[in-house]
Amino acid sequence: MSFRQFLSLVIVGFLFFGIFSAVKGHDELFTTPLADYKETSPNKTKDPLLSMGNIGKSITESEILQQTGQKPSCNFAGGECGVNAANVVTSIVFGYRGYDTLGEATILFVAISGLVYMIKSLKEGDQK
Amino acid sequence: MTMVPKTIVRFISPIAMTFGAYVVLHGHLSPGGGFQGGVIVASIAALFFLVFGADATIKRFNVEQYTLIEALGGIGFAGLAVLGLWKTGFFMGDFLGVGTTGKILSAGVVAVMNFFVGVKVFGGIVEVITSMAETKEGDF
Repeated sequence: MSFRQFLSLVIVGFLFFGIFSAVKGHDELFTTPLADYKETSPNKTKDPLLSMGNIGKSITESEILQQTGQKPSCNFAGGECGVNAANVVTSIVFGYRGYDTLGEATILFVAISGLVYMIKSLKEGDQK
Repeated sequence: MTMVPKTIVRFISPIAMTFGAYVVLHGHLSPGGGFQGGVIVASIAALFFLVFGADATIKRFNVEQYTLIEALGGIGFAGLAVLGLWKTGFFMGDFLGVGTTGKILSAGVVAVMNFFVGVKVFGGIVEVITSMAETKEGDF
């Protein structure tokens, strides 16, 4: 096994480990039927994602204060909010949508691996 | 190519690299971020390939070295996420301090992840350009 293959395995393993550990123990995400959400009012329905805890805290507290004029209650995202990042887009991309970014990075890695292997094999074919 | 584009690339390279590093490091404060800053830094390799030709690019950039840089960036990013799982109980949880908005040492783990993604994208794009240069021979 070459060094590069080993590194690819490590990174993909990290990705699957993270997804597994986040979903483990939260079966209600998949087992709760949709009808349960229709009967109760939206205010009383518990967001199934809340039980996963905060995947990342991201909305800036001062940003919310600026937009709405009142201090945020931070009832979402597991009761905490704000990483005090001035760039809200980055704080979301690396916070709430951290899995998205991790998948993007993995896609880039796998695509570049494929390209390098392809070009190497093409070169070897030329020499033969 | 003639002397003019070569001189321009020599002049522009440090400025563009500094700008890319700025975009990466200020990803949590100003528009931009890891992906964009990494590509800005790596665009120097593309300019180098266009102006100095394929042979000089192969001589200058080592694919294995940039593979290592890219892999270290990826491992740093994923490892930081798992470290958050260990420290806070949440994958990609914020275990660093939050700081004050507007300071460069703020936003907790977001800033560090930005840096690692920047390193990863930089290594990856340089790798792509160097591999492409290997299929071509001579000057343009």
